[in-house]
Amino acid sequence: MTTTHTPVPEPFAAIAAFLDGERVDTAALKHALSTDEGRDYLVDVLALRQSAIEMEPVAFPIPPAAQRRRLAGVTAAAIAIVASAFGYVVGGQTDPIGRSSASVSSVEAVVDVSMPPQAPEPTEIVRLLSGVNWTTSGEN
Amino acid sequence: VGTSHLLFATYRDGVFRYLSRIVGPADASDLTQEVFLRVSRSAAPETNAGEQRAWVFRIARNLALNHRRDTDRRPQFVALVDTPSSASQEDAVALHEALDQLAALDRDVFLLREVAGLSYDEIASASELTADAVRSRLHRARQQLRASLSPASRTRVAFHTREQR
Repeated sequence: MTTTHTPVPEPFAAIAAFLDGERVDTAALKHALSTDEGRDYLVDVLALRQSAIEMEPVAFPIPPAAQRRRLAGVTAAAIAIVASAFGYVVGGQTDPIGRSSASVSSVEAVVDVSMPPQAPEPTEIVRLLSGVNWTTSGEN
Repeated sequence: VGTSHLLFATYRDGVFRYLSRIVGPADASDLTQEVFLRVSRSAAPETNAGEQRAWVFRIARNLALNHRRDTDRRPQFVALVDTPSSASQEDAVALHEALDQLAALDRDVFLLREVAGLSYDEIASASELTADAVRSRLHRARQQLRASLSPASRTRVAFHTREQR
């Protein structure tokens, strides 16, 4: 650290400490403000401070919180889209229905159009007996 | 909310104002983001707010010094004049030129105090000086600025100040 320095002379030291929010020797401040030199210094330092603050952009131009929120929203949407696409692709490859439909599409079916279509063999024969389990509609 | 987010919310404008004075508003925007990127990557000192503020501004000051060294140019104050201001352009240019005449460290101390609002101890920590050295350099900077600015210009600045109140 630099240790060499020139002490701030009065009346400036007390006024500077007062303006800068540092510990102030009130008696020294009172004496400093009783001099023209001290009062001029007070006004000039205030004016310099005001102009140094005002003559430049005041706020950080990009609202960071809003930017972060926007970025988070875009990121979430992108993740959702990528996840949906990935799930669709992976699901199509691993779903058994998807596999069977894929295999069916590769089977060749041979149809002999010269033979008439035959009804399949019955699996159960129901016997209808008149008056027992069968009536005509006019009898009902 | 993390510590780095709190530091960002609290000091981003002050850091940007300080950096704007040194590197101009365009580069200050990038540098401000870089400052808080480094803040988020580092462990903030878990002490009082003053030491945290000094730590943030030490990072900002080091980045500004590196930027100046890399670009090898003086601070670009011209663009700042184009921003809306209560004082006249003539006064703004005069102040910019007067600031430019200061020694780099004196200007840093002045800006850290008047633009960023750091205390003497915080400036000392950010600039690696003693508090007495900060007091001395700040006084020297103010006196040099008073001497550089014409009495008429100082009066106009003071007038603008009063008008705004």
